[in-house]
Parts: sequence; structure tokens; C-alpha cells
Amino acid sequence: MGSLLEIDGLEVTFATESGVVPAVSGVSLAIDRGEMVALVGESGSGKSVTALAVLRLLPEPPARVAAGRILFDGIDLLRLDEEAMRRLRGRRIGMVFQEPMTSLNPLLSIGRQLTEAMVEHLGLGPGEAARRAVALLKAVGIPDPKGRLRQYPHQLSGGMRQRVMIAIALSCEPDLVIADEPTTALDVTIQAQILEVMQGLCARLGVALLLITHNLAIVARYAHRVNVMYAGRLVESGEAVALYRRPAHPYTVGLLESVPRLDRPRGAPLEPIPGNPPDPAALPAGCAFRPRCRLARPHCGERVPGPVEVEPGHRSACFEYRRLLAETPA
Amino acid sequence: MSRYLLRRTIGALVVMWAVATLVFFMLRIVPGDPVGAMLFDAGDAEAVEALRRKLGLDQPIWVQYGKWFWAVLQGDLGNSIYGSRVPVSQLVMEALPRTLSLAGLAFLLAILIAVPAGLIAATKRNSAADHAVTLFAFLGLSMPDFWVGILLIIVFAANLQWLPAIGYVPLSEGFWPWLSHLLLPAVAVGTAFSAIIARMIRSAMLEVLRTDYVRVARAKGLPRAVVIFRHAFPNALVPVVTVIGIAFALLMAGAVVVENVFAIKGLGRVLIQGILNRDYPVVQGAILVVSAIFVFSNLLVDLLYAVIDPRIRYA
Ligand SMILES: Nc1ncnc2c1ncn2[C@@H]1O[C@H](COP(=O)(O)OP(=O)(O)OP(=O)(O)O)[C@@H](O)[C@H]1O
Ligand SMILES: [Mg+2]
Repeated sequence: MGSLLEIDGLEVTFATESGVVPAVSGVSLAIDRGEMVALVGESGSGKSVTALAVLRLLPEPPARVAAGRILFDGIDLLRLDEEAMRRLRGRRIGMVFQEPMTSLNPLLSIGRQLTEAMVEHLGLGPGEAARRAVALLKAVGIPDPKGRLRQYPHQLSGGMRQRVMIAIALSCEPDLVIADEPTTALDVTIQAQILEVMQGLCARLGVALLLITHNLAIVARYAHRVNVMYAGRLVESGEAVALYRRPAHPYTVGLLESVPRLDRPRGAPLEPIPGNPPDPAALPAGCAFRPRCRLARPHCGERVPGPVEVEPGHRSACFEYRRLLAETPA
Repeated sequence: MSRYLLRRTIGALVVMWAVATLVFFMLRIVPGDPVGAMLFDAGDAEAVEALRRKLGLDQPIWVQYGKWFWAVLQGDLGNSIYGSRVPVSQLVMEALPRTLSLAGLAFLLAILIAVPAGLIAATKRNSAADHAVTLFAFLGLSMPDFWVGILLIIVFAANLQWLPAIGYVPLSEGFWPWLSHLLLPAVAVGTAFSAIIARMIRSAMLEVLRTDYVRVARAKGLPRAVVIFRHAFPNALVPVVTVIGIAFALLMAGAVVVENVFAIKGLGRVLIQGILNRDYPVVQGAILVVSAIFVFSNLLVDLLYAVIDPRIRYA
């Protein structure tokens, strides 16, 4: 029995002025039905590109899926014809984007934007679609849902708009929702509310969720499994609990130390990872994290480390993971 | 919505008043005395004085202005100071349908060509069709409209003899006679306008197609036609509509010039005749009417804005 979504060895390149740049290299991950999976990494690590590749919404060109396979419920998405892919988008895979302020069409009413996927995919009439739209808006916690249908995006706050986007993504009861940094653009105070609503609804409806974020602190509460990306590659993946307790890649350790955590004393110093992510057009030889890594050895610059199972279901792409694990007793 | 429209209407009225005032005073500041032009012997001081009195030119200028403005408010644009002293309003009302027909048809043709051209160019970027549109736009913008008019006359009227070269037939005498006389001048007037709009639509569409909400529309699995015509195109229209308002003035100006090429006795003819004769009531009247059309079309654009964009409707 396969997973709901299986990404296998995905490679995406961009044709730029400075040549062909790898944005995603050899990323593999899987999501089961109803599962919450996180994809974590700094800006530019290739999270959005991975998500867009699944929906086949990458701007091609300049983007090109150079290798890999994406299976969704057994369907090979990369070989699907465009019409079949279109009928799958929104119907079986919903997507929530990062920017609620620009994700809604300023000229169309909320009602129109919320119902159009249901009308298109489920063949609902306007009355039935409007009824379901009201229920959806209520479910995502929008007060006076009936009145909202007639409103326009500029009349809603960012948080409200993102709730609308979540309602849109869930409107056709998809099997999977991909949420690409759904709260990054929002006020800290409403971030948690939005995530709570999204996670709660997905759990209730049995919808699998791929949550993309650069904030590892968020992940602990909402994801079963975590995938950490760095410079277009997966550097660590595993169950959220295991990965938190015993991170097996120095980059993950760095991420954990740079965010506030509930399981550490308050006021413990936050330490950002020194240095910056590499320019994808000029990746260092070998492990891309080596220039910023405190564990780096000369051999790290010779080959790109592949994923190694450090414990069941927990993989790390680091040659030196043993030294790391030795620091944190099991 | 109604407050927005009220504001715009008041604004339009203020502009009209300012234009009227400007026209009145400008004609009195520029050198060239109509009385001198009217009399063969400007040396006859008594005759000059009599005529000035008759035309009211002996009164203080602000009295002249007040009287004139009051008359204009009542639709009285004065009389031509020549010959049988035809009322200016009559001259203008005869000429107006011709110019409006010409500008209107030019507008319609231009939009009918520009919208599909711009859309195709944007959605099939870098295709042969896109390059063809770019070339057309470049040519359209570089050729003066009267020159296009002359070219059209040479090809379609003189050589092929498909369409009449000159003149105007009112719509009341049949649709085809009316259209056939207007087609060539309308193409001449509308070409540059069409080129501008096609390019604007192309670049506005390219920009809109990159927006987040268009990506969301695609992520919803909407058919391509819905994404383009429901989500992208109306948004691309917002900046274009502004330019249409401005470009309509260009169209009117073009009509005034091209009328002369095609010997259509429109507002342009009236205006030029008036200027040559120093017939200032005629010049005033013609400019006033052209300005009114311009201001009114801009008001229409503002209205159109409100129809397209809820941010304005609910502001
Ligand atoms: N349109 C594009 N043209 C060229 N390169 C691109 C383009 N989009 C993405 N890339 C490349 O892909 C890399 C990964 O981008 P991606 O948007 O997936 O990052 P991300 O992890 O989502 O970051 P963020 O947290 O900022 O959203 C970028 O570093 C960039 O090199
Ligand atoms: Mg991103």
C-alpha cells in the first residue's frame, strides 16, 4: 500500500543568466493519508519549488523538472496530461500560499472566489455552492459568513484572508493540502490561531497536510513527521518527536537553537546559525552546509553526503552525524 | 459609489469651467483683432468703433466674460461674426455628429483589434503572433495618422476603388453609405490608438499573469479560459482603462486632423476655419465642445473604473 504522495528523487533546475541553477536536488519524501508532514528550511532552500512541482505550477521555463517522480495516489503526476492535471488541482490537492494579501483576486467577491472551485469540480449549482461556502467560512472561524460572501478582499484583514484561502483549499474536500508558509506574512498573535484552524480542520476531514515553514518551533505541534531542507537537498527527515529529541544533522541543530522552544528554560540564548545559505548558482563542493558547519571535516568537501538511516525512520545526510548524536545521549 | 461619482462629476464641472475661462481669455490675449480682420479698411476709426460696440468689445473684459459665460450656460455660444452670422451652436451641432461618428468608429475598431491582439501576444509570449503584434504596434505608433489616411486613400479608394475617398454621408441615409465613407478615416485615426492599447494590454496581462491570485486560480484547477478571462483580463484592464481615457483625447485630436484629409466637414473643419478667420465665437465654441467631450469621456472612464474595481466602488 503506497503513500498518498510520494516524491522520489525530484530535481528542479532554473535557467538563469548565470547558467542552469539547481533549485531542488534529489528530494524524496512521502505523505500518508491524513498525515501532517512538515517541510522546513531557510529562505531559498527550495521548499516552494518542491510544492509547486507537485501541482505542476512551476513557471516552465525557466523552471524544469530535470528528474524524479511524483506519485499521487498512484498517479504519476509528471506524466499526466495538462487537462487531467487541471482536474486534480483544487479537487484532490488544495494549496494555501504564503501571501494572503495578494492571493485573492481584488476584483472578485469572496463568495465567487470561494465557490468557483466547487462549481467547477463538483458541479454544484450557485445556491448549493453558496450554502457550502457559508459552512466553510464558519468552519475556518470567520464571523458573519453570509455577509462575507458579498465582500471583497480589500475589506478583510490578512488573517481573515488567509482563513478564506484555507476555506478555498478545503472546499472540494481534497485528499491533500499543501500550505506554503501560510502564516509567515501574518501577525505573530494570529499565526497560532490560523495554524490551529488549519490543523484542526485537516484532522477532522482526514485531509493530509504538507506544512511548509522556516520556523521549526511551529512544526513540533502540528506535524507527525519533519523534512529539513538545505540548499535544495533534504538533509534530515524523521518523526517530529525523534528529530526534536535527537537531531542528527548540524543544520537541524542550528535551526533548533535559533528558535524559542517550550522545552527549554525561558531566556535561554537564541543562537542564529552563523553565515548565510549558499548561492544556488555557486554551491560549495561536497556538503552545501560545510562552510557554516562546526563539525566540518576535510572529507565533507569531497562528496555530497547521502541520506543515512540513523535510527528507524530517521535519516540524516551528514557524514559526521555520529559525533552529533554522541553529544545528545539517547 | 455615489460619493465617488459625485466627486468626479464636480471635478469634471470645475475642469469645464476652467477650460471655458481659459479659452475666453486666451483668445483675447493673442494678437489679431477680429474687427481689424472684418473690415477691409481698418483705418476707418469710426467704423471700427461702431463694430466694436456692436460686438460688445468696448465693454470691460470681465463684463464681456460674465455675459459670455451666462450665455454659454444657457447653451448660447454666440454667433459667427461673419456673413449671415450663423449661431455657433448650429455650426457645432452640424459638425459634431461627423466627428463623433469618426472618433467613435475609430475607437471601436481600435479596441476590437487591440484587445485580442494584446491578449494573444501576452498569453503566447515570444510566439510568432506575439512578434507580429509588436511589429504592428511599432508601425502603428510611428506612422502619423494623416499619412496613414493618405496611404489608405491611395490603396483602397484610388487603386482598388473599394471605398469612397472623401466626404461624409449621415447615418440616416443608410448604414453602409455611412460606414463606407467613415471606414478609411476611422482606420487612419484609430491605428496609433490601437497600437497603444494593444501594447498596454500585452504588458498589463504579462504582469497580471505573474500575480499570486492568478497562480491561486490555476491551483484551484480552473480551466485556462476562466483563469484568463475571469481572473487575469479584468485586472489587466484597470491600468488600460486609465490610458483609454487619455488616449481618447488623442483620438479626437486625430479626428480633427484626418477630417481635413478626407474632406469631412466635422469639428476640425469648423475649428480651423474659425481660426483662419479670427472668428473667435466659433473658435471658442468648437474648443469648448471638444473639451466637453473629453471631460465627459473621462467621467465615463471613472464610472467604468467603479464598475470594474470594487476597491473604488466601496471606497
Ligand atoms: N523564478 C525563478 N527564477 C530563478 N530561480 C528561481 C526562481 N524561483 C526559485 N528559484 C530558485 O529556487 C531556489 C529555491 O526557491 P524557493 O522559492 O523554493 O525557496 P523557499 O525555500 O520556498 O524559500 P522561502 O522561504 O523564501 O519561500 C531559490 O534559491 C532560487 O535559486
Ligand atoms: Mg517559499
